[in-house]
Amino acid sequence: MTILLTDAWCWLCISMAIFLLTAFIMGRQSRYFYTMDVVPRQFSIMDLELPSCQKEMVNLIKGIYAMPPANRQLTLRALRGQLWVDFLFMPAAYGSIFLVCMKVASKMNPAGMVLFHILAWLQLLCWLCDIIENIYLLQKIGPNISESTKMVHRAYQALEMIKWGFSLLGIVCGLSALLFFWVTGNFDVSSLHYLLIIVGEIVIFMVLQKLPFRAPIPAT
Amino acid sequence: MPRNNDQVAAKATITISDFTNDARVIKALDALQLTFNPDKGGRPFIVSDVLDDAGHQYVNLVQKGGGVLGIALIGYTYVLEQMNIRFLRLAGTSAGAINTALVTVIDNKQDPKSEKVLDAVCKLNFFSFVDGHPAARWLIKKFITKDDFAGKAKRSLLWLLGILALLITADVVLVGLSSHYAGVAVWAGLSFILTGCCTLLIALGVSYVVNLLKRLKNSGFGINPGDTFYDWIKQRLHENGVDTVQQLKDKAGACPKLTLRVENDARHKDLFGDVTFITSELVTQNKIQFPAMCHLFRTDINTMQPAGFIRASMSIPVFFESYMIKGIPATDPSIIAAWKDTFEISQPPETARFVDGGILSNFPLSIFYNNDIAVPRLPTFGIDLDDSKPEDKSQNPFNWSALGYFGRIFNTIRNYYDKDFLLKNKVYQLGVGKVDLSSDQFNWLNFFLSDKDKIDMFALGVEAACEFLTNFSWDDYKNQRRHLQQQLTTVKTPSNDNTAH
Repeated sequence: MTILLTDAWCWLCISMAIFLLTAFIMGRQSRYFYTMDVVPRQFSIMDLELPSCQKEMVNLIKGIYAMPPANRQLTLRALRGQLWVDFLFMPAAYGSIFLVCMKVASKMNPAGMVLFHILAWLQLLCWLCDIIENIYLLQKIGPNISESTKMVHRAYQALEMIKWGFSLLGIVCGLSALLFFWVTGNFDVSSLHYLLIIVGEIVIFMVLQKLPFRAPIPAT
Repeated sequence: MPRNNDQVAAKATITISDFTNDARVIKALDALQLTFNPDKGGRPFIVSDVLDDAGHQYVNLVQKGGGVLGIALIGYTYVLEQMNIRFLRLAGTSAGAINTALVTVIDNKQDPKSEKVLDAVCKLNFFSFVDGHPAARWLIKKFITKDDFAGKAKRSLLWLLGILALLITADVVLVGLSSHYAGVAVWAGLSFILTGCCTLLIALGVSYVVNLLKRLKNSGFGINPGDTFYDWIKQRLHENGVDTVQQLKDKAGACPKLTLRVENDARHKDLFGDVTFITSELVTQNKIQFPAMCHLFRTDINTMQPAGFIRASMSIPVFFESYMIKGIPATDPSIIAAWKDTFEISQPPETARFVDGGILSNFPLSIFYNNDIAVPRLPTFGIDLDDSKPEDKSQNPFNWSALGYFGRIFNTIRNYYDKDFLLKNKVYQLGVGKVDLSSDQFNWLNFFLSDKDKIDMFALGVEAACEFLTNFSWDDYKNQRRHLQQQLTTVKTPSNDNTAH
């Protein structure tokens, strides 16, 4: 842990690179996501993560199996692939938030330190929730999907709330405090080098996102 | 029920007797029964010449659409049944289609059904039909139940943006001061964090709205899938032995032995029971009458689910997703012939998309017009739900809002089809009873009805039915209808050709 925190900036650059790389791969995979909802329509992993009711997830997955065989295979391969890549994405994403919060905590007064330590360690809970969510979705994807009970659906919703709630809180509080400490000159100038590396990674990510890529559009 | 049993079922806070034993209901019914009690000086109760062996009088019944105001329809039919009136042919649109379906499938034609319909309503959580995204459900609830919700939401957003602007200003000022006063640094840090949180809230709100709009587009511009309603009505039909179109037709057509009170040239010709649900089809832009037009969509009509007809009829545009019939065998000769015969369409669609029949014919009295009958044997009764507010009836065209202006255009178009029929066949007005639901207490989209609202609507339906029956004269109806028929057969001008068909 000491090594991790001593070289926190360095680790942050690495985890951000993995985060952006996996996000890029997952973004490409998501372009193959099609479901038959009267006509083929695109969906995103968020439709599975935050369904409005039990039936929505069932309809969406059944819709995938209602696609023509070639498109169905592409969608299923991409969807399962994205869920597996997500297992790599998770440590990078939650790890980055963890590092930011820990780094900020070290600059805080005692109360702030406790708060940011809590926020940092809560990322482990978010990671756990994300793992459970992915396993749940992987076992749900199948031609004979059945509707979850109301209790399971509620537990799933709670899982999502915890995951998104604490991770977003961690990002926002961490980045805001980081910005404050940079603006007030509370970090070494050398830390800006790492910031530049991270900005560079983000720029490369955005350029890659703009690269032409055409996923096959299913016939209607 | 396969799912949603717990969602659809309401807490048992209300019973049938809460409706039927309401003081207004008892008072209105007592007065009505007294009016038609010859032993106590009242006049005989005659509304039709078609009778069964038990003495029930038969009428055709058309029920108008009106969202949740449909509870008033139950009050109305309850009175008709209490007065030993039964329904031979039934038709309805939207909410009217729901009540029509339940009245059709429950028990036998000669049995009273309204109390069983009430029972289904008592057990029903209306809000479960609003089965869209939780955020959309929340918004709908607030918009309908809270006064000036749009204004409050706008003010809240302005407050949030104002707070963000203040926090950004505080960030700048406090950072500047923190170099001189060390104690300010804590507040500056806190202000940065709050700014981040405020930005997050706004970003989440914006992305949520964008996501909802995207979902709306993907779902064919319907906020609620309508699946819960579909499951509910399917279960109600199933409980009453209706799972196929043929079973629905059989149930609607099964009549006891009918006799005529007086001689009629038509005798028993065309005296049969049936049911019609009106819906609007958008692909070919036609009014569809289910189950009569099932042959347009399937070669074997029993592969269709009757619950779909009612679901199609009540698909309030935008509020509910359209109902689709996919995989129409468009190349099958019988389907091609059916479309050609019915709509002069030589290339049938492969998918049909239905929205609420109310946009074309919310009060389909015209479907019971029978040009072959010179003297009617039974009347067509219609239940009109009038929820137009005073501002909707305002004749001053200068003070309408943009929404009011477009609302007027839409209402003029959608109502004129039925209005035109009634203007040309005024005799049918004699069979129409109007339930006044213009009070601000009622909103046709208010799926969050309190028990009191439900009972009040039921009582208004009862009172409207009592008033209608008190004033209805079967002889007048018959005479005017006969007179109309004489006019049609003696004078044929282009203007009344419409009427004849």
